[in-house]
Parts: sequence; structure tokens; C-alpha cells
Amino acid sequence: MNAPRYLNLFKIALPLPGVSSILHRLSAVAIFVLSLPMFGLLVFSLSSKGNFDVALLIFENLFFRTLFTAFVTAIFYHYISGIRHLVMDFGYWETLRAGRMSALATFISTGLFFLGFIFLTWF
Amino acid sequence: MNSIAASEIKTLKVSIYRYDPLKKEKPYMQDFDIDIPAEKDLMVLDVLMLAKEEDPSISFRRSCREGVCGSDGLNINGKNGLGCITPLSDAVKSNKLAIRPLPGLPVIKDLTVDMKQFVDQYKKVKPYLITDKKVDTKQAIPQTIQEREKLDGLYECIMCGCCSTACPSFWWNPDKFLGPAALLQAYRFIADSRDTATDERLEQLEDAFSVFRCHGIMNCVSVCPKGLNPTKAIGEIKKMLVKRAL
Repeated sequence: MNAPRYLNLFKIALPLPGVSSILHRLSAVAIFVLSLPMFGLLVFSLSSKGNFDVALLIFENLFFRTLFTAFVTAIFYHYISGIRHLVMDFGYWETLRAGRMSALATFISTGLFFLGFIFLTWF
Repeated sequence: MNSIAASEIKTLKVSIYRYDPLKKEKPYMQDFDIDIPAEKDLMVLDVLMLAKEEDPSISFRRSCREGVCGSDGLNINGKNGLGCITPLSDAVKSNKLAIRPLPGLPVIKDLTVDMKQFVDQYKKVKPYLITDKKVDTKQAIPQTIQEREKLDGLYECIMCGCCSTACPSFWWNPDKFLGPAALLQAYRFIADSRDTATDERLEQLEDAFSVFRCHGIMNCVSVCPKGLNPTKAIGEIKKMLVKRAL
């Protein structure tokens, strides 16, 4: 059938649990993509004392530090959001109100983690 | 409208999705300036009727105009709902109202969609009582009050399609994932004490797509015009499937 289907994702409203679910997937993609440079640097830093010192210098780089912060924040969000999904699988937080509150809690806790991480590692 | 003083009228900017299969045009949004009574809280369907007075070629379904038949499921300013029971005070933002068809389903004309995919999924769950007991069709099959109460929040679905067409999993897999409306009905019969086909029903749902494509985003709950909770029903089915597998 060649009939059009209306599906403009930018125009269709999603409730907070929907936004949370999309971010859960996006964070998984971010973790997957960023794992390669992060683990690459870990292996490199463990190969010798000299390389470890080079890795420390790389960590001083603003771009890499931003990537690392994004990587750690994505892991935190994915973990917290995954726990939220597990709780729902056990039959809790299945009302719209509870779903909104728990999604909001994942956003707020990730925001706090992000700020705390920046505060502790950047300054 | 002529009998209302001009000061009591306000103009609403309405944008309506248009598509005519007989014309070689892509779907587009047509704008209307609709005069509505300032003091009255009209329903979205009323506005559609006023727009149809201006342009009789606009196509949309409606029947009971009181939220019972489920004909006028629409995407109203981004959120699915029934035009007949969605007041403008809930839907309109910045004096603008955009009305589009239910997402994901093939558009027949303007706001009228082909519900076949939705109905096909509904049929798959065998939405009728199955029993291996001898039934006297002239008599009701008795239930306790507690058994009957388990069906509350499940049987009230009017099949408007608002929930399933608000679900991304249904958009991407409309032939494999059953969708919230069909799954609510599936659980309605699984939970029914008179039905004896629970095992067969669960077996049919045991694949990776039918139920487990639901990721609990709750858009179905958010848009259901009857205030039902398909996410909870789907959660109950998932739990039964897991218990069955252990």
C-alpha cells in the first residue's frame, strides 16, 4: 500500500517515561561508541610507565575530558534507568504518575551525578 | 454564529492534515481561521465540524460524539485523543490547534486512517471467551465479586486505537508487536475466571515481539481517553510468561 503514514517524531508528544526510554537507548549507544577510545586508553596506559604518563597528559586535554565525562554520565544514566525498568518489571511504578516521578528521578539523579563528577574531577 | 456578538467570538488558528489519494500531492497542512464562542469550551470535534463548513472536502470519522464509539481518534497538537471529548482548553496551545491523523497507520484521506493493522492484531488475541466446560448459553456463567473485579480497567476499551498508534514499538513493528489495545484485551481474557484457555493464550504471546517489545514508555496510558492502563496489563502478562517459563 502506498498510502502515506503520519509519523513526525518531532511533532508527536511523549510523556516523561518515553523521553527516559529514548535516553536509555541513546546512552547505550554513547557507551558503546565511547567504550573503544576509553578502553583503548586504559590498555595503552597499563602497557608501560611512560605510556601511563602519556595517558595522564591525554586526560588533561579538554576534549578528552569532556568525552570521558559524557562516557561516565552515560553509564550512570543507563544504570539508573535500567534499575527503574527492572522495578517496573516487578510490577511497581506502573501508573502514569509513578512512571513520571520515577523518570524525573532518573533525570535529577543523573544531573546531580554530572555536576558532582565535574566538581570532583575538573577542579 | 451570526447571533453571537463579535466581542464574544475569538478566532482560533487551526491547522489540519490534508491528503487526497486522487490528487498527486504529498500530504500537507491546511490552515483555517475558525471563529469560536469565546466563553464556551468547545470540543476539538466541534472545531473540525466548523472547518468542514468552510471546506466540505475534509474527511474524518465521527459517530456518537460522546466518547463511546471510538471513531474520532486523532492526533491533537501532538497527543492522541478523541476529538469529541477533548476540550479546546486542554488541547489548544498559544491559540493554535494542529489536527493530524493517528500516527503510523496508512492514511486513506485527510484524518481517516486504515485501521486494518490495528484490527488484525486485535483478532490475534482471540478477544472472546474460550471455555472447555459445558455452557448453557441461556444462562450466565457465575463469577464471584472478586473475580469480576479483576476485569475492571480491562473491559472498558472502546478500540479507538489512540494507545496503539501512540506506541513507538507498534510504529516499528505493527505486524509483530500486538500493541497496547490488543494486549489489554489479551489480559482481559487471561484474567477472566470463566476463560479456560489461559495456557494457550500465554503460549501464543511467548515470542520476542508480541508482548516483550513493550518498553513501558507509557504513552498508551497517557493518551487513553478512557483512563485505562495497558502498561499494567502488559506487565501482568510479562510476569505470567516469566513464571510459566521458570
